[in-house]
This record gives sequence, C-alpha cells and structure tokens, in this order.
Amino acid sequence: MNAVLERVPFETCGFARALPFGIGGVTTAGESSVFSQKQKIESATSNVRTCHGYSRLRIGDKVIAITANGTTIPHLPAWANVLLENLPNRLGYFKGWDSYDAEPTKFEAVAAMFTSLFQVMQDSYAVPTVTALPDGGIQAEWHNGDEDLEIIFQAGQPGAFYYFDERTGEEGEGILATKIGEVRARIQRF
Amino acid sequence: MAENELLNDDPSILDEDRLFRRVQQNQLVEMPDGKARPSSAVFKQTEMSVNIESLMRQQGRPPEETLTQYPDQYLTAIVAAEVRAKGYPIVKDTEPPNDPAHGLVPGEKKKSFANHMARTCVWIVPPPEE
Repeated sequence: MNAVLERVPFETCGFARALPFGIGGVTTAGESSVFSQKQKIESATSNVRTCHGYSRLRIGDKVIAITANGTTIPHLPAWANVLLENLPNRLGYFKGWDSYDAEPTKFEAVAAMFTSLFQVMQDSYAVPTVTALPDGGIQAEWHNGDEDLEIIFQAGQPGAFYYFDERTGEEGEGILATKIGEVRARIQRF
Repeated sequence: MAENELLNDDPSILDEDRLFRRVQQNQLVEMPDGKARPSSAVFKQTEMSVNIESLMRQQGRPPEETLTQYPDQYLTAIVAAEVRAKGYPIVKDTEPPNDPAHGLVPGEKKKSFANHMARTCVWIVPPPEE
C-alpha cells in the first residue's frame, strides 16, 4: 500500500476534518489529542469517510489519498483510521506553531510516514501516536513506560527509527528501509 | 564535552540550573498509567530555546511566567547538567527582542538526547490528568 499525495483544486469529498488555518471548511473544536487506546479504536471510523472509494485526508489545498497499488481502498485497517482521525490535531500548520520557530509539517513527510507504516504495521499492532517535528517532519511513536520506539521522518531525510529500553539500557537506531523486520518485531512489544 | 563545544558553553549557567521548555497539547504522548509526557519531538529543535531559571530568579520572575503569552501550553524543565552530559552546550541569548531569561541549546539533536530529555524532564505546569 502507498500513501499518495494528490492535489485537489476544489473540495470534492465530504471529509470530516477540515482544519483551522486552512482553506474553508469547519474549524475543529479544541479537544484532547491524547487518547487512550480503547478510545482510539472506538472512534476510528466515526469521522473518516470514503469518497468515490478513496479515503482521503484533506489539509488546506492538499489531499493525502490512501490507495493500494493505484486502486481504491474502501476499508482501511483500523490503525490507519485511528491515525487519520487524530492526525489533524497533531500537525503543525504555520511557522512557529510550537511557540518557538518550528516549521509547518511537510505533507511529503506525512505521506512518507503512511507509506512506511503500511509496510510495517499489522492489524493487531498497537496504534502509534504521531507528533510533528520542529523541522517540518513527523514521527510515529510507541511507549509502554519501559520502552520507547520511534519511526522518524525528518524533513528531507530517509525514514529512521530509534528505540530505548530503560530496563536494560538497550538503545539503537537505524534507517527504517533496511530494518523493516526488526522494527516490526519491536512494534509487537507494545 | 568536546573542546569546541566547551568554547560555546556558558559556565555561568550552573549544572544545577533548570531550563524551561514550553509544551503544546499536540506534543504530549500518553503513558500506560494514563499520564501525559512530552514527546521527544519537543527536544529535537536544532537551536533549542529555553528559559534559564537562574536568570528568571534574578529578575524576580517565577518559572510559570514562561507561559504568560501561552496560556494553553504546559511547562517542563530539564537540568543543565543532563544537557551537558549528553554533549550539548548551553548559552544565554538575552538580547532584545528575546526574553531576558532566554537561552539556547544549540546543535543538531541526537535521537538519544531528545529521548533522554523526554524521559527525565519534570513538569512545572503539567497538563490536567484525565
């Protein structure tokens, strides 16, 4: 599966989450962006709609469409729906969004993240939390109190991963594309 | 610290000094106990801005004043010694229009640095518990 970045001049899909600071649409009300896993799964499909067989995330005048080898996907896996549901609340939309000088989140980073997550994720895996990076990148992260795992998409750099286990002090990182199997094994620990 | 980093570090900022960093709602991650912690992303800025507690104290300003213009954000603290132990310098950057307690932790941040800061930082103004 691939995440495809498509430019749509007019809104053709009734997608739920139009965003503040974007072009038109309904401003999202402020709400917690930190959900329990149970809440995430339960709300997964409520606001993610398909339009003409595509599942899309529209941000401003850009759209991220989820396709499989160029064909439409009427039903995304639950983890993808959860990420799409929460993603609008987790991105940075303008210079300085973090009250310092963070760059707005780059759509290419978001697309790269989804493409990579489709490579590593299984339906049974825990859903990561997604956080915008100050350089315009994005990361998907898992935490269980003892261990941390991050899949990181810094602006203009290949996808990377990092892990740390507080119990053993084990720590490591690498290029995601070369360690897909290892990353999958680590995700299963959450 | 490497010698070139020592050249940039300001020793008048003592090891026990705390450095304050603002955190937004969309930078929180949930732990298994239901509590929220800053994502490591908070500590990945190349020229990482902080407020230096000793300067704020000299100016008669409580730490919470770091949030004066940002009432919807939270405040966390890291310790200067921890920053230096990971190989990063700390410098003052107080020229106007900067905050008179403003400082920087310059340098491309390693993933291990950001993770360590996220794990060891302490809430000064925490998010509400759900």
